[in-house]
Amino acid sequence: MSNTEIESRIRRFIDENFIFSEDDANLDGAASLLDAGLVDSTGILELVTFLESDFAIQVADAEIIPDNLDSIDAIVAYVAGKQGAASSVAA
Amino acid sequence: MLDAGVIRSNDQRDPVAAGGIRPCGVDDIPAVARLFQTTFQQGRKAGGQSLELHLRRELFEHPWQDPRLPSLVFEGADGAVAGFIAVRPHRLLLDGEPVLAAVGGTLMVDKSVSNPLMGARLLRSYLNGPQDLSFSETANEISRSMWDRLGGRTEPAYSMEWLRILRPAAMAVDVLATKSRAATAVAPLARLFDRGAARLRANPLPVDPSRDRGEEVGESDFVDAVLPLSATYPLRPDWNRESLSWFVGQASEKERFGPPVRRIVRDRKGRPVGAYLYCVQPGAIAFVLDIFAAPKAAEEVVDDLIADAWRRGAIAVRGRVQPELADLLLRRKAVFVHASSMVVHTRRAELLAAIHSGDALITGLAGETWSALIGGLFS
Repeated sequence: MSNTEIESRIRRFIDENFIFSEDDANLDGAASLLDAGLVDSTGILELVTFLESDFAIQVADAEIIPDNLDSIDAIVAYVAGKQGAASSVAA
Repeated sequence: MLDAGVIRSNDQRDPVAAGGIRPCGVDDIPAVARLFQTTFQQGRKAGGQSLELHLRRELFEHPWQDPRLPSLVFEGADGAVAGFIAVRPHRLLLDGEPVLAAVGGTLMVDKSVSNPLMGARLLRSYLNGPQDLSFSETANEISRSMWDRLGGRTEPAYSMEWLRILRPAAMAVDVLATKSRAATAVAPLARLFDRGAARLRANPLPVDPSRDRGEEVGESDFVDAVLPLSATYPLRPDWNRESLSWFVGQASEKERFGPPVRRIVRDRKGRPVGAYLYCVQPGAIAFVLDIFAAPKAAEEVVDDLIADAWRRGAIAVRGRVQPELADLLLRRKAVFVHASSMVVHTRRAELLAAIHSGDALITGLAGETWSALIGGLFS
């Protein structure tokens, strides 16, 4: 799956579940979801569940850190990395 | 499963962002106690027990201590404890078959560290443990929502408290006094009113003092009575004398709710047909941990409780709703209100079914509220 496709699906999920104001509709890819108040402890779990089901990856507890999940860019890189690792193992 | 280890990173914005989860050790108790004081005890009067001693006893001297089910701490990159969840091992029987359960509660994070991932990670780590059943009867709205996102379910029948008012005027003064201390000035009048109302035949909240037919007993007799009475539930704790005595002992240290009273009710042949444990003091709302009753004796047991609480000067009695007693309590003029939520997480449908049908003994002594962290006063 391309990074563009991953980003598109993540943006759609965040848009449908966490964005309630038009001001946040065109969220910068590098913007912190935590600092913007878009995601809280419940939202993080919702996001993790989405990533596991939609991208067929396993998110380890230790991977639930801001480095991986705090912005759209970070999430895209994380998912792409997990999928890349999975395909390397499969090959 | 637990984090593999503490994660280190160069993230300078938030040192705890780089932290990790590990089992809570005895050495963590002072830090956990400080976190507890900050999270739950601010504004409350101190007293009674040493919190550190209590935590040591509850977390490390638990009769069902299990190395597979440790409490968890979130350790920041600086090594400080920034989050905690108490995991209390629980042995249940479903139709006689053992069930490994873990009660999760006292989820707390250092609010001075802005990191909403800590609580989520602690809860997720606990729920990913080896237990067949995870549950908590004290989930607040945030916790309930997090359990829900992780596949948990809220059980409404176990998420309610019942309240039976005994002295309505005193109760009204008590409620008003939470808004203004001046309300206590009318307390003597309220007592007069309640005394008069008790004599009225048309009293909508009657108490029959003659129904006080039980007897107060010591811990040992109470345990002997409860063991057979609890055995009728399809899903119940795997208590023996030793383990049940430990839970009863812990539940007897709720200084905020008053001294503990253990009573049993006997049939005509002197056999125990009911037992209950509650904390009661004059002028306050009594707090019931559990009511155990043989089906045909339930009315007698609840009536004994109401009469005993009245005799001891309580203004009302409250407790967690036990589904099998809900109808009787409604008929005894109790009102039901939402309390903290009972949340359940399991992959075994038969466990969910037993709980959902109201056939489970999983609250009070059999759940989480036996803990002195609920209702205790700590130095």
